[in-house]
Amino acid sequence: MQHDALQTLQDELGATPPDELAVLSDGQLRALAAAVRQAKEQQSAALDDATESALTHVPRPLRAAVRRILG
Amino acid sequence: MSDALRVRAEVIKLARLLGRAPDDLAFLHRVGPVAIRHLREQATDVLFEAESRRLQRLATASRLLPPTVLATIAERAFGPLLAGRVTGYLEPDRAGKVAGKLPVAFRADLAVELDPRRAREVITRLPAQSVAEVAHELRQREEYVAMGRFAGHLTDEAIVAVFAVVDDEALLRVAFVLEDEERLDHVFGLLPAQRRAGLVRAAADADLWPEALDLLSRLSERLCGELADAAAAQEVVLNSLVRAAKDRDLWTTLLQVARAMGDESRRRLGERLVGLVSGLTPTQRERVAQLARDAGVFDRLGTFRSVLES
Repeated sequence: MQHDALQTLQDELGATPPDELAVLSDGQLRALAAAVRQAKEQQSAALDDATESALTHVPRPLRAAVRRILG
Repeated sequence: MSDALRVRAEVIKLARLLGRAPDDLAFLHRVGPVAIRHLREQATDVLFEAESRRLQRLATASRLLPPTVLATIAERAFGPLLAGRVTGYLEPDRAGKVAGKLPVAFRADLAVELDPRRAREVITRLPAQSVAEVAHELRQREEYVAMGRFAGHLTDEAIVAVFAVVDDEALLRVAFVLEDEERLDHVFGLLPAQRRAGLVRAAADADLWPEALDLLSRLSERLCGELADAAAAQEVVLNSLVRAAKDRDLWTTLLQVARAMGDESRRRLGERLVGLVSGLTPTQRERVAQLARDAGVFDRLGTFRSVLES
């Protein structure tokens, strides 16, 4: 079980977690993995919102060019 | 004691990165500080890598805009967290110009979110005065943990400017959680000798001996000896130090630090310790004697040895 939880955390981190985390329970490792996943999701959503909001501050003549770069 | 405080600092940093309350990650107190820091660096990397293409495109688009507009966007659209993420992708000189347009409160918010490893080029180009303003703001907010992340990435000029606006107590608290251990001696070597003596006074005034002794034990023998001698030379400070050693069980570090003291300082320390020994049980006495032997100071604390052996 703990092996699965460590693997889940490893998948979220894209790297092997420090060995010392083996002292944590299955639930604690899963909580860490969930925290990393949610941080990525929140960051992605925040970037979506921020990018749209940023465009409203870009001077109108440059807005199309900026939008093109942002894709 | 020291490790528990350091773990707490690491948990605070990881929780901040993941947008959680430190209590949510309280279970990590079973893990050592080095492992938590490693985990935080892995989480930082994955958060940046997850959006690296988008952050890079934002940085590219930013080249079309003047610093004033970018500062407005940073403050009103991005906020400190995302502005911190983008910073490392900006051209360093340009990022510095944008920073110059931002109010100090926002720059302090941004500093808390920034990963100094990824923004090193930007940080080292900031004017020393600008860095000092942010340090002052962070000190007002008691953001010692955030401050400790930067010391290893600042220029000497910026460090000196920061010293001018951060008091001795705050310096002790920051030193305790300083991330770049290799630069600790260099950083504190830049502090004027008079201020270094002030650190031990601050330790006595604010009851920060665990932090202060931990700092001394990590400094080179020369600097450790200088600070320890400064403590021994001040009656009130020395009395406070030996009381703390007894009350907070700081014997191990104190006796290690005593090794770096000058002969006269060690003699004075020994005298003060004699006064404490009567309050120790025979077992405690034997333990202190063994710690003194381990630290190589058993024969060098004046009358303390004979009292311990009696």
